[in-house]
Amino acid sequence: MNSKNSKVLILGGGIAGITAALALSRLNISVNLIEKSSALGGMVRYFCCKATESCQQCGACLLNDSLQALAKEPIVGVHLKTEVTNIKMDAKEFLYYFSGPEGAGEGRAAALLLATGFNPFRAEDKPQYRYGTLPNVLTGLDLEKQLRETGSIRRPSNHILPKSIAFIQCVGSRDLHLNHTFCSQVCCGYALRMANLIKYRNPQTEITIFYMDIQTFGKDFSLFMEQTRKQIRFIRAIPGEIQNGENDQVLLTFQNDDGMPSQKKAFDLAVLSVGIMPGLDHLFLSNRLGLSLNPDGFLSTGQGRLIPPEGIFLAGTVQGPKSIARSVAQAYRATEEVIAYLKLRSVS
Amino acid sequence: MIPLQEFTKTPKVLILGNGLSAFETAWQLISLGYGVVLINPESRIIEETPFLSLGGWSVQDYLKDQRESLEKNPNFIQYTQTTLSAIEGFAGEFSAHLKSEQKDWTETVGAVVFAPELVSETQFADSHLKPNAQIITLEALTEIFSSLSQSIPFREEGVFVAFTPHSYIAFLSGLDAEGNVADMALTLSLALKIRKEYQSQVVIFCRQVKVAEEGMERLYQACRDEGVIFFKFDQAGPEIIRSNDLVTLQFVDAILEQPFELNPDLLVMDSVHSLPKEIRELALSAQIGMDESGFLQPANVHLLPQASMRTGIFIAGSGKGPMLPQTCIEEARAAALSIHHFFEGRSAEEMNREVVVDEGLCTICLTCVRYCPHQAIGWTHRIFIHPFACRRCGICAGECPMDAIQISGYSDHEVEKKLTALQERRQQVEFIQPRIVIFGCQRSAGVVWEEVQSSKFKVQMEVEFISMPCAGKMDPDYLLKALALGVSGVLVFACPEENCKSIHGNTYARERITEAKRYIEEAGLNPDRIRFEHLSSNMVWYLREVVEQFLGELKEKKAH
Amino acid sequence: MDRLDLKKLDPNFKHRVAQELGGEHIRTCYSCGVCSARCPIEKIEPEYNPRKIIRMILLGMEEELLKEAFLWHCSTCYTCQESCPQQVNFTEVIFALRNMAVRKGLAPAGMGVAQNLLCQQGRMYEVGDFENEKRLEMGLPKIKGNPEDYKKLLED
Repeated sequence: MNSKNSKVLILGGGIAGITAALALSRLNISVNLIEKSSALGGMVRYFCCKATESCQQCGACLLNDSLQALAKEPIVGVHLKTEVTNIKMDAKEFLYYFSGPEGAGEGRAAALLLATGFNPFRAEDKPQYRYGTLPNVLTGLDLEKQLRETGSIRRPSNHILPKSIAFIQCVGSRDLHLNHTFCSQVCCGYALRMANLIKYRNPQTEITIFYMDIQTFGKDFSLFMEQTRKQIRFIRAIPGEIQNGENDQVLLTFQNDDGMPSQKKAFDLAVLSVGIMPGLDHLFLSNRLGLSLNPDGFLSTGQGRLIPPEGIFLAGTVQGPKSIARSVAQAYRATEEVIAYLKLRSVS
Repeated sequence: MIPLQEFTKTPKVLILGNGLSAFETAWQLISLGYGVVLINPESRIIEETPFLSLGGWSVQDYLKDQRESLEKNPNFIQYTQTTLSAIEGFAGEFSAHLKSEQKDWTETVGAVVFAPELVSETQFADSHLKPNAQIITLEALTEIFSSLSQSIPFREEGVFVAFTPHSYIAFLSGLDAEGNVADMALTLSLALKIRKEYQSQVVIFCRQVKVAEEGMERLYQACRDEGVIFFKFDQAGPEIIRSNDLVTLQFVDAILEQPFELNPDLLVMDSVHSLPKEIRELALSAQIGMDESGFLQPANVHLLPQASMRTGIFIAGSGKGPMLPQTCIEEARAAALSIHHFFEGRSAEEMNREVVVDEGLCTICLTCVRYCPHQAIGWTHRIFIHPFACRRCGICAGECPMDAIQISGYSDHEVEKKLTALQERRQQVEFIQPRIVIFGCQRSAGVVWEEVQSSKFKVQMEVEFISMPCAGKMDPDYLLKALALGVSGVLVFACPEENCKSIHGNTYARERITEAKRYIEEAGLNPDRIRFEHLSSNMVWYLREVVEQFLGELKEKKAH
Repeated sequence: MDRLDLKKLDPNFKHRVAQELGGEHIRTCYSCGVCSARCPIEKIEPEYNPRKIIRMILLGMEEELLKEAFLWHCSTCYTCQESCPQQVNFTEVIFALRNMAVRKGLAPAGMGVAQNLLCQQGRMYEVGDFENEKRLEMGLPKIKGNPEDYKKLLED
């Protein structure tokens, strides 16, 4: 039987998990990092570089820096294609059972760090936008992937560059009807940065952003918005639906912001800015570890995150929507709390 | 400058600030076993507002216990009404020059944390207004309500005259500049409180409702449910007209396209937040870097989360920009970890590379000192590169006019060896194809090259990759050597602008390459045999595209 | 358009709508515009704009709104209600507004006619002997109106 013991068990090999693993390893604290997919990197491994003439600070490249560093860390045990099937407290330690490519086993750890990430909103759950039915409707994640693989966006229907693109913000977020009364915090950032990137590579593309409120992101945000407003059209209304147009164009109906009646306009491509939703492992972890879910459905350690419960720490989007920058900061914060906890334990 | 002796790390940290970020950082560092000197420029401690309605989370009790414990701890010292005038020396042993009314002195500390609170200024002058019974700043109103909940007698009784069910309270939020979520949280919390406790009508004028934080969308919804009215503007905002004592707001509702006017019984204006002047001046003189909006920490993702440009100096909290209390706590704890890493953490392999200055070649021209982005080089009777502060980027080595600086693994000698080996390999086999050499930053092009190797990009025979710790290490000599050895073309890949881990390495590289191309042209060679590109570690497609294009161009030229 | 003084409008109008059956969620609207974008009536009659109607409620424009004929043009297709991300239930808000309008005597003339027909005949359209004969020919039963039942229902 495989046995894995370490000071800290980290569940989830995305940017938060990796950052925490590295941070702990640098202090010679042994870590087992368990990841259920076949590669490290979580969602960020699909994200593209959004630099135009200069970096737009999305943070996607930080993943590669961390992966590079992790490859050289001797005391982090990385276990891919491995899942934790059960976990519980046993004599003030975490006892967990896992199943992986080499079979099943168990392990122990003094502290547990959960970094299991998020689930992107399923655009099919907004059927009026016909994602999956019409070819030229994509999500923000589809856009990231295409840009990362090829550097450009092509219309799925005929593989040519779109001359006009519409971004629809807040898809799945800020939605009482879906019981998602929260802002996903990253969609304004990724949509505007990718819009700038597309414009940089193909300046003749016309880009329109349909929004309710633009959120602040990154540094020097006012300057960013000043530049962005010069080349991208902002319309303060959310389109009601997407219909099929001629030549596979998408027809969006929306209340224009000039007091005129609603308009139906054709675009070559529509992009749905889907939000960050609770991950798939939340209920399992919540049950086994007695953790509550916050009102938005994400894992919570209660007490407003001031003092985490005994030995369990959260980092990254498992705890709620956040950007890459904040996930990294939270991973550092969680590591600091782990260290304080381990120190306390060794004393008592 | 420090004399040459054993480099040490004094386990004492100096924290600059007097609010939540500063105290939480202090607390965490004390718990980790460090000594803390907290420099408070004022005599008071800045408290957090007690009534922020974000999911029933209150900081008050936690902070009270923490402050009490801190004050009792022998490793914690606080100096009030003291300023930090300069930070000399290097990480591990900074000399912090302090100044209070009574004395001037120097503390030796291993690390420094900038954790200041921001100052707020309401732009009354722009609208020809000044605070009176009907016009108040958001900060002042917050203080009034805070003192209410602490049963401290308040001075501004006048304000409460406005809180009747028939009166209108107007908030102006984020209209002059892009708003922020911290001010929005305050505005919404106050609006909700006023609606619930006094039933006054509340109207909020803003550009964007900032809800990108946990609990904010629910707070926004609670406000709407309670009857708070929002007017949103794309540009500008309501026009403020002042006649005698009457304030009138004139505006157009974008949804109805209907002009309105309102004489609010109380007008609450928000402010512009900025760093205190002394902090800004210190940040500039200490060369820790700032962004273009006047806040701490330049806009470079490699400094995330808490680093500054100067090793050993960290940034935590609102100094980066207005933020919520829970974010300040996160910042403080992350900063404590970064500091712990600096003192106790095992350095990455890169940081252990030897950096040697050849005294025989060095003329103490101080070029390296000026170019180092991390203030890691000092001099006495000779140049020395501080082992803790140096990040092994190689910019100094690339700039040094005498090539006196060498980094192990990337020395001039080692690079030349690789180029010569290339030449020898070429001579062994008949090649018709053009040969190119790629110099790439190891964190961007290096990563891409590895990924490309594991795929079937069949250029191994034609392309040689030489890794650089940073494009800033690129020496034009390498280009010339490569060309002299018969290489057809040289590609240099650097990270995108403002994405360089060494801040300016990519820019310096580009400038050197541009100059080198000029020399080459003057020498009668085709400058297009050298190409400089920006590349990120997740842009595999771009490297392929550039290499294929470049090879294609070179083949064409060869054909002619 | 004339400039309106916000203070002269009724800030309690929205709360009164919220107390009507169907109008409970009126205040959660954040003006996203999806309702108006999908409304089929707005396409042929731009004056009928759900988002603007809600805005008028929230700002307190009671008189201007309740007298409008377009309140009666909603086809009750429920598309707005199905699409609203804040569950404003706008179709039911229209019903609430219609009730409030009628209470103020602001119903369109046609409503009175409809009401009379219902009270007299128990139906909106007269079903006479001609129609009933045709029905018998087709093997369908006769139709008789129930004006007494409707009178009771419409007593309020």
